[in-house]
Amino acid sequence: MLFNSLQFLIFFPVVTLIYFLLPHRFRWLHLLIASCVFYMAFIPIYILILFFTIIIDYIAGIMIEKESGHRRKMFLVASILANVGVLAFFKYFNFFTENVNAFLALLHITTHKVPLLKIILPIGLSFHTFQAMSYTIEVYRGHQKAERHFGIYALYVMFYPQLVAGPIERPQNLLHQFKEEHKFSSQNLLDGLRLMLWGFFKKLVIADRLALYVSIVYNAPNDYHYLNLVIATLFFTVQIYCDFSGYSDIAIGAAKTMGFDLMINFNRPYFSKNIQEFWKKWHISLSTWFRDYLYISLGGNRVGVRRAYFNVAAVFLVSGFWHGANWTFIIWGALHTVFIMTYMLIQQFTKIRLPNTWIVNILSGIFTFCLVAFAWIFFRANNVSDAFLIVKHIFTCYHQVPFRVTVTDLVNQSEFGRFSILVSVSMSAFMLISERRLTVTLSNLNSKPVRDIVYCTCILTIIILLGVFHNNSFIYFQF
Amino acid sequence: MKPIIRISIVAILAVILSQLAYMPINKVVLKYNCHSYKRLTEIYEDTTAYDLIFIGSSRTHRSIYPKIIDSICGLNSYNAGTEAGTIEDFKLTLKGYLVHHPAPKVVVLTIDLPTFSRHNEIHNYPQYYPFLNNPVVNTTLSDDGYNIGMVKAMPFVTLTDLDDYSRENTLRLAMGKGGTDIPDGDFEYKGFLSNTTEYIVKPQLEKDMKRMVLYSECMASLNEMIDICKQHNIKVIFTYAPEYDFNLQKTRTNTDSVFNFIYSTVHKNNIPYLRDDSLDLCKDPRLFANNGHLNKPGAIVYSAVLAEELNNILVQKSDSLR
Repeated sequence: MLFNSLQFLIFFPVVTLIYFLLPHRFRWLHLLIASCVFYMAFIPIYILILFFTIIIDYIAGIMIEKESGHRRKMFLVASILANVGVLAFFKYFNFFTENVNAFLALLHITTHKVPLLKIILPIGLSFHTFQAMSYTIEVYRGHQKAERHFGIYALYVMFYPQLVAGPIERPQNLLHQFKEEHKFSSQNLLDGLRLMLWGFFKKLVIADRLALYVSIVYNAPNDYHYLNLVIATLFFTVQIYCDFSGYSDIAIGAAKTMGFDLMINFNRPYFSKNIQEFWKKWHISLSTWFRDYLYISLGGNRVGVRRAYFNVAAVFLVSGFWHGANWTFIIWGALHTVFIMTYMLIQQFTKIRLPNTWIVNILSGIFTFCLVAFAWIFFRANNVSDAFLIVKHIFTCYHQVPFRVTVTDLVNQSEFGRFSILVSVSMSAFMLISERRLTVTLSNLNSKPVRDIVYCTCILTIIILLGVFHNNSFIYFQF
Repeated sequence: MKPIIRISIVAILAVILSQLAYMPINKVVLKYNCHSYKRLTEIYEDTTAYDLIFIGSSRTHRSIYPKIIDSICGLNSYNAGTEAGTIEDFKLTLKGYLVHHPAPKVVVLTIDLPTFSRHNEIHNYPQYYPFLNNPVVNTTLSDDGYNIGMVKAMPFVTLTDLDDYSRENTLRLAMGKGGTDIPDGDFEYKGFLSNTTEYIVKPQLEKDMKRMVLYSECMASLNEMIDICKQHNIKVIFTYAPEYDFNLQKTRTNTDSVFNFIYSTVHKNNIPYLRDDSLDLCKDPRLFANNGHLNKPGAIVYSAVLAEELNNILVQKSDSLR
């Protein structure tokens, strides 16, 4: 079920209302059933895959706690293998097969083609797999007690607000919340709804509108003037933020209305002054997952310098691969590896420390933004050759008018006209400026009812009047 | 202030503001879509009796000029073609038309290659919202899953169906800067909308090959239309509208299946079928705005040819198959 669908508009208030009407002992069951309904709105049969990993991880958690020594590790490995196996089968099998076939073709071996699987990737597979893995790892590390209540554990993996696109929660933060009785709180309700409203604004008014332009240009990059490519890339930079952080806001807000606190996933990443800071503010739940379970497991920075750099590279390459089974994502991860390692090298081997003045902060912010936007080219392009073509055309200012569609042509002829540009740019600016103080503003609004009503009414009316209601899926659902 | 009161106030205020915005916006939207609105009003609300109606997609809407048909055939005809129309649109047009109008003597149905490729899909459904009082429109949209009840109760929700193109045109018209859905230099006449005088300068094929699918639901819809015509004693004629040098067929696959189905239907039901893709005019790029659509001069030339063809069928009563 999409958050931006009519079904969810009915589903959400009904589920929240029933949650508070039910006695505490039945709430977990209610949320579990609601989460199943939510997930089954996509491809119902795929719920069996989820249950398969849930059962394995549930048993593994208990066994890891019970056993000691070598057997503990064995159960952890079994659990990780099961999760990664499901992920590999559904997400990466065809990628590897295609590459093996391409390699065989290079060797002129065409008689032994490995057949591709005709399967659709289960929605949000990478998210709930990682969340499930964090449970068994934390039990293994002794940071979390194994959950004995199967229903509660299943709910930990399936909790509908963050089931398909995160935030990827940790058991220490979420599991205990299912056991606590949440009394109805008007503050939680208002805070949650306000955050959801903001998320819908970002998704429907900005992200889905920018997507029109980005899709037109990125689906046929060779037809467009380089300025179109530059604008589309900048638009995608804003689009992906509004799409994903919008989803996170709706998820966090929906959970908040029922009294659940999910971890924040974004903290104004495009205001970062360097690439390291960007990764502390972008998709925080995934970055910290990789930090806690991969980087630290590899030794982090407590090993030698070379090994520490290797660990960073491994994390970013795996992160790229996590996003999708495509070379474009791997290159995106590799680019960020290069950015962050360069930054670390500069930090380590030079004495350059930028002065903390506003002009330097702005310039370094712009530079970081440009680096991130450049890397998004590879993330968004339909394939690697398209990505390199876009880069080449942008950096060589390739235009060859009249054979390539100029910005004016595109605006005059496509469904993305002057009105779309006006709304996109003004609303994006409004969003970026407002988010600076959004957290402060949101928490202050509870004590200022008139301001709250004016603010929420304006946002809701803007969504109704200017939203793009095409039931567009969220970008991160595909991961 | 209790949260439920606060939420209610926000919801009510947003509804009031949106409804207030809806009224002038809708007025301008209808003003902009003057041709479309007038055409649909004629089909779904008016009661004028026509001898012949043309049903089809934009290839009907932009190609058949009723003035010429009327003068040659001595009939009173109406062009009820729908832009990007699917078989569902065709069926809706026929059934919706019959609600208020007396049955015409003849229905000329133009079938395109992709007519059967989209099922359960009404193209540009918001254009039908002003005509929900027509029971056929109401039922069709409801059956297709559109929230008619919501649209009736809260008309402002139709604003969510506007795309930016419509919003921009509405805004321009409201500011006194824009035109309407009848472009400068073009004209309308009894449902027909002329299609510029621009013509094909350099013939080009579409880049991608498109596979034409035949959905059983769509084929059933065509048969249902034939049955309705039989019930109302309406003569049915099928046509295939002109295309430039077969350029559409060159970039479509599985076209044989489409034509085979049409031929089997016309044989079974004794329906005349006019394949107008091999007319001489189809070789003249100056008569086409693009591969699939005649331009203004092209529509005038073709309408005269079609009128003669119809005359042959209607006057001589020779249900010939070409």
